[in-house]
Amino acid sequence: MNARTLSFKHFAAGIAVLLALALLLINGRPIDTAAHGRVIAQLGELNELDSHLGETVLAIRDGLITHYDPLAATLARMSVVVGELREGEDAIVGRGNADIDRAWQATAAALANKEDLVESFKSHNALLKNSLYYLPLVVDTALKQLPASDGLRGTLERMLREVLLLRIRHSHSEREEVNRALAHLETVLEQYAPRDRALIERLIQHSRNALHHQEKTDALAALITRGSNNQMGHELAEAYNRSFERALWLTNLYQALLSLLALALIVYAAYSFLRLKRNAARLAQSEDRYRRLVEVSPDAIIIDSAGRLAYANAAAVRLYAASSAEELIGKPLRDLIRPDDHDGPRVDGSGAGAEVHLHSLREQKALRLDGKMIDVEVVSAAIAFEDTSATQTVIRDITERKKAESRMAYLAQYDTLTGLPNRNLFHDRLRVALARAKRNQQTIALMFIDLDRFKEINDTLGHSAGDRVLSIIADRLREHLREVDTVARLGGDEFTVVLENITNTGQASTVAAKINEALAQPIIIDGQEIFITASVGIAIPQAGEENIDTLVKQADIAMYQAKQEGRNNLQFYSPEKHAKSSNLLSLESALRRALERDEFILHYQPKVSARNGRLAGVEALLRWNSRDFGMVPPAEFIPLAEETGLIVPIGEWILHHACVQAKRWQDKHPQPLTMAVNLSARQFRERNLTSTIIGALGKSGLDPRYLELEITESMVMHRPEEVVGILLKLRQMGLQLAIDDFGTGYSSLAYLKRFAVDTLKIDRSFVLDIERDPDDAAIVTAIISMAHNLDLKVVAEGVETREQLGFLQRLGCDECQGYYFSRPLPAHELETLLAAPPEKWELHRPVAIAPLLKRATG
Amino acid sequence: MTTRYALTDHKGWWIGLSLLLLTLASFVMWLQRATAMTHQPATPTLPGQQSAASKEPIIPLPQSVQLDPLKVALGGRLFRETRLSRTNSVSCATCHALDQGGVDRLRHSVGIHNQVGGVNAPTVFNSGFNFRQFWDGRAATLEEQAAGPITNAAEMGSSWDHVLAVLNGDGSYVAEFKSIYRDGVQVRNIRDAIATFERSLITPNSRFDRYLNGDAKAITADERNGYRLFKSYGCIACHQGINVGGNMFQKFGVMKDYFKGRENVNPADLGRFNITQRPEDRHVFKVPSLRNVASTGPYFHDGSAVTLEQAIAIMGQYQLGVTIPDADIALIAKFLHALTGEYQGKPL
Repeated sequence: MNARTLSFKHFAAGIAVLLALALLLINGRPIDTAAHGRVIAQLGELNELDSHLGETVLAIRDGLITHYDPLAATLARMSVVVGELREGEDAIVGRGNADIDRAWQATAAALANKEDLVESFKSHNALLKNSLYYLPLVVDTALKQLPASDGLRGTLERMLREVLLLRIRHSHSEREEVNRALAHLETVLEQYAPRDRALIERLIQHSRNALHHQEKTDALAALITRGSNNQMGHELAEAYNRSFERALWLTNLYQALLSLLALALIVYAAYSFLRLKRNAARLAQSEDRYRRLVEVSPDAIIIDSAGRLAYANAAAVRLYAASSAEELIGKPLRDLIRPDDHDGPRVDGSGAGAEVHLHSLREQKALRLDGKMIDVEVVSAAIAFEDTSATQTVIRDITERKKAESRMAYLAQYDTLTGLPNRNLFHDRLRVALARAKRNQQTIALMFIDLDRFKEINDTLGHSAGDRVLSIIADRLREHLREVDTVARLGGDEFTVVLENITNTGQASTVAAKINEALAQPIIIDGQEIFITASVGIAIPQAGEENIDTLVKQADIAMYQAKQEGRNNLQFYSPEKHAKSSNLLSLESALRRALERDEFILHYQPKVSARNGRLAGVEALLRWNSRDFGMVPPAEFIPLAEETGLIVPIGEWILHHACVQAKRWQDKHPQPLTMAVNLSARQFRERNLTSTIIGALGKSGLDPRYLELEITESMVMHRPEEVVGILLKLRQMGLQLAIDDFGTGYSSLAYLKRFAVDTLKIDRSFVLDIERDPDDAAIVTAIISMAHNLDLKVVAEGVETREQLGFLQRLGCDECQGYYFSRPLPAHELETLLAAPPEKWELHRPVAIAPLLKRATG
Repeated sequence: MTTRYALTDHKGWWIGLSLLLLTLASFVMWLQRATAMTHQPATPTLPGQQSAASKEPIIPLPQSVQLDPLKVALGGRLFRETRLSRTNSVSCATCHALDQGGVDRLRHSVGIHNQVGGVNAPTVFNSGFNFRQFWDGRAATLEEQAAGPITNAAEMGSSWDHVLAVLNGDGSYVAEFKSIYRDGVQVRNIRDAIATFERSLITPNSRFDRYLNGDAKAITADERNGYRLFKSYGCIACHQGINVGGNMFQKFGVMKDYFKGRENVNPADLGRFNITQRPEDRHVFKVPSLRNVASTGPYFHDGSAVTLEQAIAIMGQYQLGVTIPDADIALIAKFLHALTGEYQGKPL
């Protein structure tokens, strides 16, 4: 389409060539040879006329012609010819040729001069003839009049003869003769009578006239004829020839230039033609390349002209489920492509507005021939197709992408495990609910539900069990809520519920109670009953409160409060309680920094042999002296450490310090002292547990025999196969292993054999009422005897009174631990204890246990 | 998909046009060369070659001249058009009455407001055979001459603007001009028409012409004698040719000063001197034609001679230096009468 937008450069070049052509054509036009021939002829005629004029003059002088018409006619003709020459030359060599102008003027002047000479000649010749006609008459009269004897007669006769001969001979001698005769006549004139004298005088006058005019006529004739020797027009002819030669030369030059230009144009034309041909070939290649591209394109490509389909490639045929392109061609575009929504630009290309969006990628629907509507992505470009403007549209089937997109959208909004809305969607729903409530002058309630001790389920039964529990919980939540309410899972064991259309807190607590009730139903996983409780925090937006983040925070706080209150309950958010829970939050951050700040210390609680009262060992217990909170009870920060995972580095720290301390004491005091260290479940699962232990032992140089690791019942119950391996490995290292808090879990003693532990530590809850509660006494009795049967050492925890000690002694408990002996002590205090054991450790008065046993059974 | 490739893009267009122009130009050049080849220079025809048969110095008038009849008609109409004069009173024909020998028969002509001119009006008949016009020969052609009287204050007192206005105001003139001349009413065309008409004013078939043409009995013996005297006295030296004069200049008073002692020598008497300012041209006049001389009196530039006889006598005295006897004058006069011809078949 370049041809239409002719560039200025080409236009200018074209104009220049045309101008040059025009200039050369005008200048190089052949000299008007007809005019040239005319001028040559005229110059010739002028010459001939001039000669003719001279001849005529001579003929008249010699009396061969007796009138002057030929002279007048010749001169008139010469005048005409000179005038015509002036015009004719202009036609050939152009005006303003100074050379020719000068020559022409000279010629005109010569002609005028010739005319004057001729006029003069005519006049003189007439007068000469006049005298010559009359002279014989006068002589005749004189001869008649004069006496016969007069001597003058001879003179007169002779003179007449001479004059007439002069007419023929033009000789000087005759002229002299006549003059002598006339002079003679004048001298003798006086002698004659007046009548004769007058006659003679007239005779003399006419003779002199004749002589005079004869002379003049001869001179003029000579002038005229001499001038006729190619003088007339000669200069003009030369000037003309010069000009003509020059004009001819210029014309030839221009014609040569014209030929050169023509040659150049022909060469250029040939070159252009070749280039065009080459370009056409290249264009054809290019066209072929792009056509193939279009044909094999995996994307559908169609071309429509005036809203009707003019071309469809193979992909388009496939996309529209057509059998061939012919089936598609001719169909209105609007039957094939529909706007995705009503605001979208139409693709028919006919609207003016369509141009603007033509090139932008947009999503639309394609209506297949089988009636199926599919999602497509469309981009169009205006093109020329078979000399009309058309639109080329590329259509890509994006059905799969759309599916993936909706899946992504789902994933972005839903929790895959439970199918509940996730945090994102929850936030949206909450926002909408809040806005709707405000509009309807109602309120909402936001519940945070956190399952109690869910971690333990994961720890003991495994994650897949935990996941199934979560699924079941989600189903129950859904079941017990209205459609309008939203249940979401924020992650882990945290659920939220948005209750809409509520008017008072009572409604919320009713729903919460219902939820708690539903959750309380036992869940059976792998044949095992699991009881789940939940802590529920409820927040109801304050009047004017619109910030969902605030609301979420409040519900969260309320939930924490519920946890604080001993779990399995619900709490409404109140600002007063807020302060406390925010403490909890900051406790966590303080805990995170505790290690680097070196805020942890170990206290050691002695374990005393029930048989001899000697210090058998110590249990290392962690204490946290926080810079911000002072002494923080382990019950507060240990669960936090477990939740946050901080327990792992902390546990490492404990192991290390405990080993170092134990070694130091052993070096100082030769008695064997076992150092017991608690392992958390989390720690137990760490892969590098053994290397950590080896590291701690290696660094401290403690004999492994004196390191005892305390693990809880629940820890071993979870994945027992794995645990057995780990425990065996630890045993092989020479460590001692103890089951802590024994009796609280679900494990059976039979299991313990497999675990290859050395010691059982009876939970303090059994020891506490051992004297008064026969059940507890029975349990402890059973545990001890069974343990001994299994060759396990039994340690009782929480021994606080002498009676308890006595009881346990009687049952054969191996070691005791508790406030009766000592609270957990800082290292230096324990050192004093090592140096001098207190008196009460002398167990010389064993307590009778029989009545206690009786009471327990009774 | 089909795509057509046009070999004529814009460059091709220019080249095509240029080549077309070149072809045309070459063709035109070839044509011009071709015509040049066929051109043959015309052989000039040399005028006035006297036939060997007649050695007479006087040549008979032709029976007719080849002229455009439309121009002649238009010229005749203009010739008689008094509106060309300022006063709508004077036309060419006023002084050159075709029924009075082409003259007014006044010594000096009378123009508008009865102004009297400086010279005697020469006849318009056969003026086309004169080598120059006016007594002093100041006009080389009749075309030049025609303008003279129209713009002469004493004659028609008009101007070309006036003449053009008059003619353009007359539809019939405009149409008539248009039918002859492509450019219609123009000064050039007016002169051409009048001059053409004047060339048509010839008077063939005089008895003397018939004599010259071989009819020996066309003139009487006296007339023949008169002709002989006309030649022997030397009159023929100037009055010769087709127009019996009118083809040369001659001084008035060759043998004797004609103007000597005359009163009121006016500028017109200086003759050709007024044109050339050369001393030798003082009192030099065009030799008048003697055709129809019997009908065109009074004679000479000043109209001083009333009769032919007077004129012949004066001529003899001043031009020939001879006193011609009355008998000879009478015979010469008889010969001059035989020079009267016919205009449109009627004797003048």
